[in-house]
Amino acid sequence: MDRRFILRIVYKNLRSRKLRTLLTLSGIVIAISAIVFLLSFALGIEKLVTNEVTKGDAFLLLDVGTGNSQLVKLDEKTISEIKDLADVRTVSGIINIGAKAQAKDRTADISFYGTDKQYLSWSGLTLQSGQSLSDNARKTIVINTAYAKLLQLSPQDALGQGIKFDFTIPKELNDLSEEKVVEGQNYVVVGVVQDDSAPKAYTHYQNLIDLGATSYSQLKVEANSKNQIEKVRKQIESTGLKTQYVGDTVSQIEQVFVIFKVVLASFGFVALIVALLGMFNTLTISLLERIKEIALMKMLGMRNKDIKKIFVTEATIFGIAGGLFGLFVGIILSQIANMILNYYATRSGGEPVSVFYYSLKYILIIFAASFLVSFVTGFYPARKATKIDSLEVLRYE
Amino acid sequence: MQNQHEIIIETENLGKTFFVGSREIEVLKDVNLKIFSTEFVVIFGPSGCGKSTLLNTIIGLEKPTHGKVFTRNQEIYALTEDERGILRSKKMGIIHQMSYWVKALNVLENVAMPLLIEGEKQHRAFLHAEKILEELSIINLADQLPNQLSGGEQQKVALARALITNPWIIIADEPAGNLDSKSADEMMNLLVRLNKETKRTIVLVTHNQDCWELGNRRLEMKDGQIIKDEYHG
Ligand SMILES: Nc1ncnc2c1ncn2[C@@H]1O[C@H](COP(=O)(O)OP(=O)(O)O)[C@@H](O)[C@H]1O
Ligand SMILES: [Mg+2]
Repeated sequence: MDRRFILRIVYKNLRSRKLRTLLTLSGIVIAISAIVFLLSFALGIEKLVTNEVTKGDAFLLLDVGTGNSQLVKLDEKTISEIKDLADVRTVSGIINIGAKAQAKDRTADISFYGTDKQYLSWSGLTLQSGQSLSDNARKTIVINTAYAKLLQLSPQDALGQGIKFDFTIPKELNDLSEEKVVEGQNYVVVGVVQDDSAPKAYTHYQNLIDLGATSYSQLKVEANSKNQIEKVRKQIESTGLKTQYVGDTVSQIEQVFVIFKVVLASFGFVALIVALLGMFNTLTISLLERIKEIALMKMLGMRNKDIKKIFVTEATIFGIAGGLFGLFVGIILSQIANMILNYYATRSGGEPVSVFYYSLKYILIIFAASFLVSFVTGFYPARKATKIDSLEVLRYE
Repeated sequence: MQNQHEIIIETENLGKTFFVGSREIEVLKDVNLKIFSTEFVVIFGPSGCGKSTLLNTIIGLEKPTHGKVFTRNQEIYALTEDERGILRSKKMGIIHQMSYWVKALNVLENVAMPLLIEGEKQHRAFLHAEKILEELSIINLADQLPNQLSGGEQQKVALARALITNPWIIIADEPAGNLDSKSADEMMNLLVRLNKETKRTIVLVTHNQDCWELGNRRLEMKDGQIIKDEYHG
């Protein structure tokens, strides 16, 4: 039978029952838009988190440490060996020691680091005031905002502040077999970096080497390209050192988000199942209402496959229209939600962000699912329709 | 005289028994019947004597308990259900006491349906339907929904639908049974005209005595058998 006529029958049938068609359709639209909303929310959050983790050059960087091994050390020799590896661009280290800090009649135990400008910027620390560590400035430090707060100084006022330190260099980081204590070291604050976690101060590593430190606590190794990371990593680990890579974290995040996405999507799919039951109901009722018409069509000689087509087409139209409108509504709703969110975020001083992310892949999958599932839902009433015995229906009035 | 023409329908020892619970109802008893091309056959008999069952068997919807049905030498119950459907849609025009419609479709679309079922393209089927509606002088109804028409109008549209495939035979089972006498007369005149002017083969079942003189052959049925078969006029 002419496909266009089947479409015409379906179209006119749907039109002759406007309210029911609309209700059934809105069920599917609600379900699909819920799935789109929830899934794009999950994707958006995942994106935000991953972006946060992988800010800047993160994907080129390896963190290198000794683990708990006493056998390997991150000394100058190790550093130059790593620097000599073919695919390594640069290496920066950090020495982490304990310090008793005295300033403005206030004594505090803080973390003290010997490192360089490069390492600080790789760590994502941004200057609030002053300048970062330079290679030839002696006896200067950069402190973080947490320490400035402790000293009740604004980032601006902290510049020029003198601080007296007693250092404790642990035995793993010096050449002696015990920890080394150095007292009464005076430093001047030249910069403040944004970090409110715990009070910290940074100086150029040379200052700590001058005081007897011989090893670094940790290194950051920059590879020439992302593709070489795994190779560099193997080479470094073969010497007994331990490495960490944000890529690992990202794949962990991805794993967590798989669960998150599945949970959110299943809410949506519950809605979809309810909508499908609604559609199933509509199709079945319309089958019951049309038993006489189907009997007539069979009487006139219509083939079972054409009768099936009518029902499957009807269901598929619900799936396609519901899928399209659902995608549309889901995207619009999530954009509105995003706008509302950003309105409040920017009002309280935050940066505007996209909490929703739409991936073409997911959109296609959702649409295909809507199409397929409704197609299949149409089969049962379609099969029932072909079982109708026209004589049985038309014989007695 | 009948032998000059080709046989359209032939039944051979046709029998039909219904089983209702443990009861057996023998509705058709060895019916042997030949219907020739261009004939106008009127079948009458008391209610419940098996007229409708005979027609339903002939059009391929009611499988007989025994015996055979041929249309133009094709044994129809040797075909599959779908094949019988094709045969019915192409070669038989059927009208019932009540007309049934695809309610959401208008008159034109309903009339065109048998052609579409046959596989005709939509626009050609519609053109053809318009032609038939014009021939029956009911083209003015084309855009209406069939259920909104009067009984007489509905039966004329049903006739248009039966005619559209240019069938070998028109089979009408009490087509005027529900009509007022004026509409019934119109319907019958239409059938007579079709038989006279276009030599259509027609089988008409009716219990209206006024109609028994229509056509040129009269079959009387009783208790599942043909008890009288005569040509006249
Ligand atoms: N499907 C059926 N099951 C049982 N009995 C039936 C069935 N169809 C018809 N009959 C019976 O067969 C007899 C003949 O019916 P029918 O052919 O409709 O008679 P008519 O059309 O001559 O009035 C009736 O007694 C009717 O009750
Ligand atoms: Mg009857």
